Amino acid sequence: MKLIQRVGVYSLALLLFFSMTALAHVGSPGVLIQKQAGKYQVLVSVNPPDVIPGTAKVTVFVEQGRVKTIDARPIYFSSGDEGAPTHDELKAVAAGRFEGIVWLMSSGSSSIELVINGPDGRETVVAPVMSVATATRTMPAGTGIGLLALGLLLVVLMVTIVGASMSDGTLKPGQAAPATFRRKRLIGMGIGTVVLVLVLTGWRTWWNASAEHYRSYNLYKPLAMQSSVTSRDNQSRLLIRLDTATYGRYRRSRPKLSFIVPDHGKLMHVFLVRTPGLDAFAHLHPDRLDSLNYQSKLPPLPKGQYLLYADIVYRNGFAETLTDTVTISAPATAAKATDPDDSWLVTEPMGVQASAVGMPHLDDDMVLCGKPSASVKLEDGSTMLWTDRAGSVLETGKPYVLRFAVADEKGKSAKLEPYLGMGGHAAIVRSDGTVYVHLHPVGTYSMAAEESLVDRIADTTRVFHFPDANRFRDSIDTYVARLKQLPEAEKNKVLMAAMPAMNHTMKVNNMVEFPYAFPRAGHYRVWVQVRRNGRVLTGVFDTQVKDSLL
Amino acid sequence: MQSALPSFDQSGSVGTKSLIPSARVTDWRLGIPTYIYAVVFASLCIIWGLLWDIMWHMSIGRDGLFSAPHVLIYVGAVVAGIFSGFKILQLTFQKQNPMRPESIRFWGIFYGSLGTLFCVWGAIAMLTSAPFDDWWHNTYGLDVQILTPPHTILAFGMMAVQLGAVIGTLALQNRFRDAVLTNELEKRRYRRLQLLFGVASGLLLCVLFGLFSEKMDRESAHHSSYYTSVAIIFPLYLLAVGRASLLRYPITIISAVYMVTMLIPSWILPLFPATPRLGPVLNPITHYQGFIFPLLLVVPGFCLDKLMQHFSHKKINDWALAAILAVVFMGVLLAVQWPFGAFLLESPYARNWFFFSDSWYYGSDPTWAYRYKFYPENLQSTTEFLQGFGIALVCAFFSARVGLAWGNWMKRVQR
Repeated sequence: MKLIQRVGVYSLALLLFFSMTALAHVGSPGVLIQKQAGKYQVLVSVNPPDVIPGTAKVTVFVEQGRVKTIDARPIYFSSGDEGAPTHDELKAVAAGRFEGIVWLMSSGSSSIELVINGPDGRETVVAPVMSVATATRTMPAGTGIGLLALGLLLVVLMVTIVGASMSDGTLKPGQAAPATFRRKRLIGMGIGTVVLVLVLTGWRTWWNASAEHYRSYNLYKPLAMQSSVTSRDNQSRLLIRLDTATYGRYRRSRPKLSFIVPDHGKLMHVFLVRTPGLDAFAHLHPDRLDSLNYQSKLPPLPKGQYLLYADIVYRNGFAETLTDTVTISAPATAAKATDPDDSWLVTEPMGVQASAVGMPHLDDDMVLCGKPSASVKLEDGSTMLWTDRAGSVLETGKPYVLRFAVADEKGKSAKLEPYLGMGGHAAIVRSDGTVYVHLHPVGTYSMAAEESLVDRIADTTRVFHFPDANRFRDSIDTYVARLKQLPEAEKNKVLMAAMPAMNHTMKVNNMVEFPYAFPRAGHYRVWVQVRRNGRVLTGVFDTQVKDSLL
Repeated sequence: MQSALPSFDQSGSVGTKSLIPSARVTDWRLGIPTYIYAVVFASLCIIWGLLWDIMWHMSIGRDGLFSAPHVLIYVGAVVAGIFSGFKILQLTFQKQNPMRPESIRFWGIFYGSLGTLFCVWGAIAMLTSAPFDDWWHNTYGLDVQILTPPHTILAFGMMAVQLGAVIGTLALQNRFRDAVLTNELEKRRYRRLQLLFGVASGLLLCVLFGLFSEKMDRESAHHSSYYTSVAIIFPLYLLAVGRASLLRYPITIISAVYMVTMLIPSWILPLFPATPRLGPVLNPITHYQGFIFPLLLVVPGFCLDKLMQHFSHKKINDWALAAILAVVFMGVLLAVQWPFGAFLLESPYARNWFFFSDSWYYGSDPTWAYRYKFYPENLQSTTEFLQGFGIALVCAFFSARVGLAWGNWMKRVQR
């Protein structure tokens, strides 16, 4: 019985997993950025609209620096800096906190440029934002009833008017209505009713067609993929096939797949997480076979069903996460990595069962790891600590900076090296897989997206024209292949040089921090990846998140 | 001598003693009820508010519930709604009100004229559209086109208010039909009502055109769809108001009112600065962009007037009349609008304050190859065009026939 329940819950979770929208992340639409800009350090939260055109809510927390004003404006990749409207000033709502809205009119890759002014100078921060419609709403009952009442009043009044127009309205002043006018009035009202019913039917059909148009052309549809695992010569391979057939009419809103660009030097970042316990994890970087097919050798992961998240970024800065599930039927025995930066980890399952999500239970504080300031042993014997944790239970929607420190075997601070050009990477997945995010020390967004948009802002052309797709793809393949061959130090140098330098300060000591706001209540697992002595180390933490009481 | 406006006589029937205080009869209102002026003013507020709003969206982009053009439209709705609503309540609760015998009783207790009923309906419809539009924006995104389901309710509301002004003036004007006017005041009142009806009709024509303007822009002046749209809308409306009006050249005057009303905001607003507040900004403008130059309706309108005068004393079936009027209207319109459309689109002489063909939406690329050229899709082969124009002629015929019938009804409106 318990097994059946478990399978049921698991199936439901998978159903949710398939049906959810997948932008740059899954189930985590907001963008959070922590940046050093000149003497200012700010934490920026952008809550993008879920319908386009719509408004993004921007909140800036000033962590360092004397800020007087902050101006914001939307800059679209398609039209660049020259095509952006004038700035709007954010309102200072509290000490060190500014808020405002920014209108996003077009679907696609966009950004919000923040200009910070104050005695410490004028600095600019760019937040990449995916401007896409994701909401499917119905009318709230209250609004529906109110509108229906007004509509009925209008119909009755119009029928009355038409009836009167054909009868009493033509009577000379003072003239009494002849008996035949009653019939005339009724005929008028009948005709009025028929015409109104026809008009309203046509109008409702039009409304339905508009709603259908929104669903077909405007509503974001994630790029589908079909993943499979094949095994040959004791080597399992993950094959990912991108499926553009699912775009439907949304196709025209998308760039071609040939315009996928590398993020941290990799065309695709794949995260595999075994369900239900989220105990096996892999971060892989498949090779591109052609524009539709990607392949990666699998590390020796235990058999089971895996959630698969694949992050890609296009030339215009549009970043999205593709989702699928894949079954590994037997662990590879002779595993070789496709990419030297691939990493994986098998650990204990989450302390809380997936079925317990959202329900009160006794073991909130009995998770295996991730207690306040809990520490985990890493593969090389060093220890990773979650420091400055806000509490044993975190709150939804609250921007946190998650800090992790690494100590060596003797308990002294361990020097970390850049991993894929960054101080570290983190992945966060909700126990049922419906929330996924790939984090960096600067925020929740893709570095390649930022790079594309910052470059585009520097470009003064008003309309962007994509280059030849095949030539572009070839040049990217050559670049990625060359980068793969480079020694680690040189590779990091190339990757770091490509990033918009002014906003990133690489704090390569023994600590990494990631800004993030948990979108929904539940149990989450956090994988923190750093590099030490040339080795990628992964620390795993669990945490519980509850809805804010405020 | 029978007064042309019996309502203004105290007895309630035909009388000689004027009800209106002498001061009011001789003031600027000439004894015409204030609410008639108010609803015509409301009609003007609505169309200029609408045109301002369109130009706002072409030039600035972002607006709020209480942006200046919206406020102007609301003023129109509120003025029409309050004056008409007050009139209805006044007639309902004042049993001895001398205007009661010339009003319509509805729902067993209320009294009002047709004009006031249309205005109140329009005001309620405009009110209804606001929460619906707000929900629409939250559900499907801010709509950037003129015609959407919630905007249609607003548009019907606006047109109902304007139709209220038309019907209100029409009912008073119709009481002069066949009347022999002896005193100067009545003559002046008659002329004023003729004019008010002409103005109110012209203002409603502007909104009607505004709603379908996306189908009648200069870029499509060489496509048959342009003429089909024209054929559906204009003969119907122009012949209805033309038949009902007591002016000598009603369609010409109403067309002229339409043209001037359309042109004034497009001439004045571009004098004021406006910068886009929404992106993408592909056309970095600094001043308001004019809307579109209206159709040269006065020319075919004048021909319609002449034909209507010609056939007014001849026994001719309305079906035959509709056929003649439709063919002449469409033929003259084609002869005028085909070259004029090309002039507006292609000629450098149209790129000035008067014709404002250089007016360009901030979000459109100003270097677009077809900015001053007919886009290939908007051009047809001669055969295709003639086929399409044939359909337009059929549409114009039915439109004209319905217009004549509607005009017959309009002539009979008294209350």
